[in-house]
Amino acid sequence: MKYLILALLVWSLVSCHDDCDPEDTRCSGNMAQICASDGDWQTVDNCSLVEPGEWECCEWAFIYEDAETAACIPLGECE
Amino acid sequence: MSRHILLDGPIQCLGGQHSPPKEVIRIINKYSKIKKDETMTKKEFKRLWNGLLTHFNARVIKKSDDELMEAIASFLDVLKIQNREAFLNNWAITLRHNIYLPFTVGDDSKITLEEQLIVLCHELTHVPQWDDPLFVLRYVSSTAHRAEEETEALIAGLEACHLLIGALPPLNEEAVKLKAYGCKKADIKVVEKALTMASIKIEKGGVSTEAGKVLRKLMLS
Repeated sequence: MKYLILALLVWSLVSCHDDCDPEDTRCSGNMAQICASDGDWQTVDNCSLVEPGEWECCEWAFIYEDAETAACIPLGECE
Repeated sequence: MSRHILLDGPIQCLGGQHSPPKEVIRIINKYSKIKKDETMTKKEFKRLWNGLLTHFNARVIKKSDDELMEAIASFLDVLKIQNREAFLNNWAITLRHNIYLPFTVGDDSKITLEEQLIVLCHELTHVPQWDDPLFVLRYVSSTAHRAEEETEALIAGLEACHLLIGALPPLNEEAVKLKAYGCKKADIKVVEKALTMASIKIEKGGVSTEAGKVLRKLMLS
C-alpha cells in the first residue's frame, strides 16, 4: 500500500501542470516560457540571469508563425 | 539512459540574421584572426576546454576506450536498437560528471575544435541536471520533460556556436535531432520554437546557460 501511495505522490509531482496550449508563450515574472506538449509551462530563459547587462522578458519580442512571441531582450527594447 | 545525450555529427553554424553587439564582435574578430593565422587552435582550445571542465568538475572519457560504453554498444546492437559502431562513433553521452565523447579531444581531422567546444558546452549542461534527484525519473517518464532538458543543452550549444563562430545553425535541424531521443512531433515543434525564442537573445549577444557564461568569460580573459 505504501508503495502505491509513494507511486501516486511521485506521479503527481511529475504530472502536475497548469493547462496551457502547446507552443503558446508568455512572460512569467522575468522568465520567457513556452507551453510544452503536455500542457505544462516550461521556462526557456530566465531573463534576470542573462549576461552581459540587464535583460527583460518581452511578450511581443518577435513574430513566430504570425503570433507575437515572448523572449528575453535588452532592457528598454520592449516597446 | 544510453540515449541521454546525443549529438549526431558536427554542428554547422550558418549565417546569423542580426549584427552581434560590439562585445561579441570583439570575440569573433579575436578568433577569426587566430584562425587565419592558424595559431589559435590547440593552445587556445586547450585553455577553453580545461576551463570549462574545471568549472563543472567534469571529466571526459573517449567512448571507444571505455568498457561501460563498449558494453552498452554491444547491448544495443544485440537488441537491434542501434548499430554498435554508430553508437560508439556518433553519440556523446553524459552520466553524472562523466562525459563520454565519440572523438579524440583536440584532433581536428574529423570535427573542428570549435565544434568540439560546442559539443562540450551541450554535454556540460547535463552535468548539473543530474544533481536533481527527479532528473532521471522526469527524463524517462515524459517526452515533454526530456525535450525540456535537451532544449537547455541545445541552447548552451547555440550560445557556444554564436560565441565561437558568430552565427547560428538552422534551428529546425537542431530541434529535429530530438527524434532520436524518442520525442514526439509535438515536442519537436515546441523545441524549435523554444530555440527560436532563445536565438533572439543570443543574436543580441546574450548568454543565459552556465556553460555559455563560462565560455564567454574564458574567451574574454
